Amino acid sequence: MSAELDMTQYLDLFLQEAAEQLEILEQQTLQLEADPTEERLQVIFRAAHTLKGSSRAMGFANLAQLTHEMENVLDQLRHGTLAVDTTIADALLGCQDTLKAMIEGIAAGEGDKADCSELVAQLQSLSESGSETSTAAAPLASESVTTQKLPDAAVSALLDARKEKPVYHAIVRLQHDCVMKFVRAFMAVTMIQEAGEVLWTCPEREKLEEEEFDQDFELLFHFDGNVEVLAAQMRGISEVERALLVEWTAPSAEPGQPSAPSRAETASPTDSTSLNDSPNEGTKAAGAAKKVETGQTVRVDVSRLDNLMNLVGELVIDRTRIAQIGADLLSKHQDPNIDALAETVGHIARITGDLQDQIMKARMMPIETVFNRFPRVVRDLAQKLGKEVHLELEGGDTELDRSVIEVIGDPLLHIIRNSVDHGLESREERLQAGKPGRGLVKVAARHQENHIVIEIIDDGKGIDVDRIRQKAIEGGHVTKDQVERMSEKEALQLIFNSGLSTATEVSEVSGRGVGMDIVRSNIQRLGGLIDLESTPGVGTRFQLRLPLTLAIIRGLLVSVNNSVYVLPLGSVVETLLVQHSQIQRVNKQEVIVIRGLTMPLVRLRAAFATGEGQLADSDEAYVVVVGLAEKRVGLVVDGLIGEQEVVIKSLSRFCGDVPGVSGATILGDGNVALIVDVNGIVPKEKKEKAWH
Amino acid sequence: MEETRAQANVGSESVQTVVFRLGPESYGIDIFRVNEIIRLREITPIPRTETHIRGLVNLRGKTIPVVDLRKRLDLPEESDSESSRIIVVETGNGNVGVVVDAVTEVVSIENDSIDEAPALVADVAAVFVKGVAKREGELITLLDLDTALAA
Repeated sequence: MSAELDMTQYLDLFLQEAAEQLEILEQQTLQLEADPTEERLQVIFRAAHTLKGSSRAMGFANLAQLTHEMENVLDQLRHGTLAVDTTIADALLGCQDTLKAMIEGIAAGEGDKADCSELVAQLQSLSESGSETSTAAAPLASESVTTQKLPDAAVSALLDARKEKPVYHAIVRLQHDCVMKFVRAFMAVTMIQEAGEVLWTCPEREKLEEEEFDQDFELLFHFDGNVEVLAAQMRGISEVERALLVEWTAPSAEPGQPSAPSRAETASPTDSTSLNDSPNEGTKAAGAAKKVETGQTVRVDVSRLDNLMNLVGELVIDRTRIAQIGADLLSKHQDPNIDALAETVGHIARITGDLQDQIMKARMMPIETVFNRFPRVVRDLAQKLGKEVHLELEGGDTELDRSVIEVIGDPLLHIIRNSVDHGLESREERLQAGKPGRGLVKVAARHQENHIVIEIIDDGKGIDVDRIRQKAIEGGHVTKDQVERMSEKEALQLIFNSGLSTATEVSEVSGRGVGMDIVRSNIQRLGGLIDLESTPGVGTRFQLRLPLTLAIIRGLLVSVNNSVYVLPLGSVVETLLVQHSQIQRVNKQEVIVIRGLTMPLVRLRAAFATGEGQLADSDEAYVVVVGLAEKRVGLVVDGLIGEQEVVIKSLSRFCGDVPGVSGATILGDGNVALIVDVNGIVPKEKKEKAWH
Repeated sequence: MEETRAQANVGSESVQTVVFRLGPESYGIDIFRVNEIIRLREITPIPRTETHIRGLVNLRGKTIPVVDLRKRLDLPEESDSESSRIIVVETGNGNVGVVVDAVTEVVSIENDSIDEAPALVADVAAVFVKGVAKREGELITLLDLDTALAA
């Protein structure tokens, strides 16, 4: 059944929606234990319900059955005949895992085969236990006035009307001492008439005109504009006490009908409202506004955005090219047309710049999508370790490019796991140390200039620097002499070395000594920096600094043996012009002393073996100082060309992995320049030497 | 290899082949693998890669790697000339350019006239060769792009 041909075109849509609903389920269920409010239950119920509706429509019977049973349990929770406890939370989380497996199975073309019989039985027994305790659950809210009054014929007519355009329901209350009720009602009706089409009023228009109503009147109307704006306008009419606009749904609409399940869902009877339960009005109005927002968005395949980005990238290259040709022409000829060309190029530059900005914005996603994975992981981990952990997430709405979103999840997760596992102490230890029994892990994201800064803070025992020093020496990473010369901060950085773990016991979670080095190299590959601070007994703070996008970077263009290379500006610390006489040799390694700091040098000519020997008859050399975490390394280049924004093109797979080169770009003159991977250019042993 | 056999079975069928020169010898590749043929342009060398990879070129805003077929086939080195061309072919790893001395013609080669490659044709190792075609007294070495351009 699920394999019917005409369904396949909806499959993508279904999968997307399912993923969204699953995310809502997971997020909300995790918070349910701590905060079982009615609204939250309502949200969870709706998500399960939407899933049920759409999986039924798509013919996934297993999925539909599981969500149906979830719904039963949730319904009882909602009505208070069952109370939220760990058993129920575990069952619901178990459902999510199975749902996820099912949806992944569907995506892989295997259907919703995952076995859910055990869960279904569990849920059934839960909901049975609930119905024993209470027989009749009172409906949560009475249906709105309108939906009760509407004759069946009117309902079906409205349902037909809704197929063309959304139908909204306006409930307007005039002030009780309103003296010109007819005029106010007339103004409201006219206002709606101008924005859409009034389909039905209560009371009828004649009665409205004759003021045959108390304080309230209601309208159903066609409308496809911004409902929030309209509601605000209506509230602006004098003597209108309240105007509530929500999307209308038929009162008898069977929940989960295949047609537009999400819409039918969002305006279930509890949501379309009567004016008497005013305390929630604010949230409901916000809900209505949100509905409209979703109505105005379009789902776009990310690959299309990527293509668009590539095309704009090419446009930027051509723009630069045209500007250069224009400049060349101008230097050779005197012609007013060339001036006009320059002007036009300037204009195109602005437009392409804007276009680039807009597409960049379209590719932005809130970091929430990454954060959402954390609560579950932390909960499970804390349970396994028998620790109490409070996870605080901050700045989830911080936006960054999806290319970055895709890759930061795992490094972040690794750090968080480490914090929970190694950072936080057990409850007893914490209480002994005079700390609250529950440990805190806080993940906070924020924008800073052109970067995003993510901090992972825990209030655990901190990192024992001496033990790190000792481990590093034992592991042969550094010599005793080197360690002794390291500052506290430098020694801390040693945890990023491979094979270094300070955990006394190797646990399943972390502690195998792989990880932090991978975390750091992943972050650096993104053009980011990672830093940490730790105070024994107080806690540890990791700080990640990442670029907002990976598609475009600012680069420093340098020349090496007549070729142009791009150094990511993010890793450039400074540029120097040094005398060759300043370059010294220590153990065959060229170094330079800058402000009392000995810095190893790498000659790009030699590193890239592009040209023999040194620059002839010059006693000066340009050195670009790049930062590798705490280390500084000087890259010797032939010349500095300038700064420029470059569009990153990945190297063809055909070339394989080229150490020291992270990609390529096309310059204004149409030639290709390579982008230097600073991390890969410095040979391993030199990196160690950079520990001074 | 299988393809060669399949072609042999079909008998009188023919293959459209792009013929090009490397030194004095003629070589051919299946036209369906060829995307376009462009003039030689500035090639940016990539350090630390295999020697037969000459570098990257800009093909309408995209960068594609270019292979020095001479080096790949172990032929004596020669410098580029006015007639040198880059043949852009499709591979499993995306488009790749191949530098040749000149593109001479596109011919239809009957499968009947294709012989299996002897151990060494025109100084090229047999693994890179699909077969040899005789045409108007001239030998055309048909290259196996999949092995010649394996990354």
